[in-house]
Amino acid sequence: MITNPNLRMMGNRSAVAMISCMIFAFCSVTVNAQEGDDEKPSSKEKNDRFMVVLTIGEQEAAALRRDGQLRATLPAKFQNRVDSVLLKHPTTFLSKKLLIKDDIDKLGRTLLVNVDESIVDRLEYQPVQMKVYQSGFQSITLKYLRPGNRSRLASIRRRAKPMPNDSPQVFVRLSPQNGTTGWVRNMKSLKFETQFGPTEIPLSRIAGIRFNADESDDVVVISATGDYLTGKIDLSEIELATRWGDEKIPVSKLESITYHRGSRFLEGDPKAGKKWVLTRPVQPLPPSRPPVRFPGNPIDQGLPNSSFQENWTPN
Amino acid sequence: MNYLLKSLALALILTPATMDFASAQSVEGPANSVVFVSFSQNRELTGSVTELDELKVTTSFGEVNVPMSKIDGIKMNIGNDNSAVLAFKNGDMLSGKVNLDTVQLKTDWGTAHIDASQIETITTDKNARFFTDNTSGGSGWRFTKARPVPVQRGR
Repeated sequence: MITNPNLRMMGNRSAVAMISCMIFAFCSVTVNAQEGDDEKPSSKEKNDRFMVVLTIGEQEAAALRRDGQLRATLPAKFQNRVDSVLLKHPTTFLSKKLLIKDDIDKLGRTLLVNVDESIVDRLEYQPVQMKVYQSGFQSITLKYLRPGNRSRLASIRRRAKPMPNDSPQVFVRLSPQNGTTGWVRNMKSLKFETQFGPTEIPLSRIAGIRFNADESDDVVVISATGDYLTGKIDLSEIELATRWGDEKIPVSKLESITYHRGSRFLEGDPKAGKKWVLTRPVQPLPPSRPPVRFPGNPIDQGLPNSSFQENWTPN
Repeated sequence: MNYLLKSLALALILTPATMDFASAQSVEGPANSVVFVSFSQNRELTGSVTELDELKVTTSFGEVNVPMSKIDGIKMNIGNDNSAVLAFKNGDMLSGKVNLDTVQLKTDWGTAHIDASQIETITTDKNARFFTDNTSGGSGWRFTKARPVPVQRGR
């Protein structure tokens, strides 16, 4: 049994009037479902529509990939009143939501939300909102479509593919908490100005690049052999081919590019001669099924912390 | 006088019998920059490198010319392939094969022609040293000019 404290209901009273919707869009209401899970809505409240917010952090994503699905029970008070499901990472690069309309099914009393790796991977980049047109469901199940199993979403998405001039597959870290995997377009090598002049290093020879390293240097490059080079780059943005399409990311927003998601640049001891240290990748989660308690959601700290604790049940 | 004779003898020992000047780099060195050259068995020479302004280094990503004025230290003959590690003044580290046959060192007593294969380190600071560190993966050579902390003896 996995407990998820991060399932929230947000109402926008969209069914009342269009004007109300525009007002409430900026002051979404978080409903504490624990106060009245079994209460029936009043006739006035019946017109209110809510957005179910599911926060998918690293542990939830790992559980979803491992178990194939995650399930949440919907309190009676909110049944037949859900107009969308929002999937989000605790921290996202963009606040702008991606709206998807066609990847939700209903099976009996369960709303099936189909997600694949492109959706799970994308959540660190931006939230994904799925419109719900179905009613009469009592639970919501996130169903993970494994690679190779084409969802309906796959047919409407732009699928990025690596080209010959692109980098090897890398992990682009956008903040300490999030990043995304992809191929950097037209970047087989990194050109930068070093202490000994202009240098071009193939990305295949680089273990990691730290961008915006300090006031004087644009980049710190650590090679696969352990070389440590600093320099300046003449690059304003990179074009990243992701699982869901191409994204242009300003270099000023980049934290690092590494081969492994688990590799991180940490500030080292300057007395030891290095300002940045590239850590080795951490070991992946074991394939077993240990009980996981989901952590709190740092981005929602301004909202009531006790709001709507719900059970995720991986099968 | 005795010291002078000893230094001269050491320089003659280190000078190879035949030198292939055609393959050696031959450029002007940084003026008056004192370096400390260490050899095996804790032998050391102090002086300024002459006729060497740039080092040609073959790295894993290609050949680069590194100005000697940017370098704080060189550790020669590491690993099985006898490559070197260069420590830059700004903290950068670069490894590769250095195309260097001899180093000409102008000392108080004259010029020493040093066989590069005999050199362990060349540094701009007497206290500077190279040490290994594997936290970043790879070979993990580091360089510091910090004075070693003296070991305190117990009472």
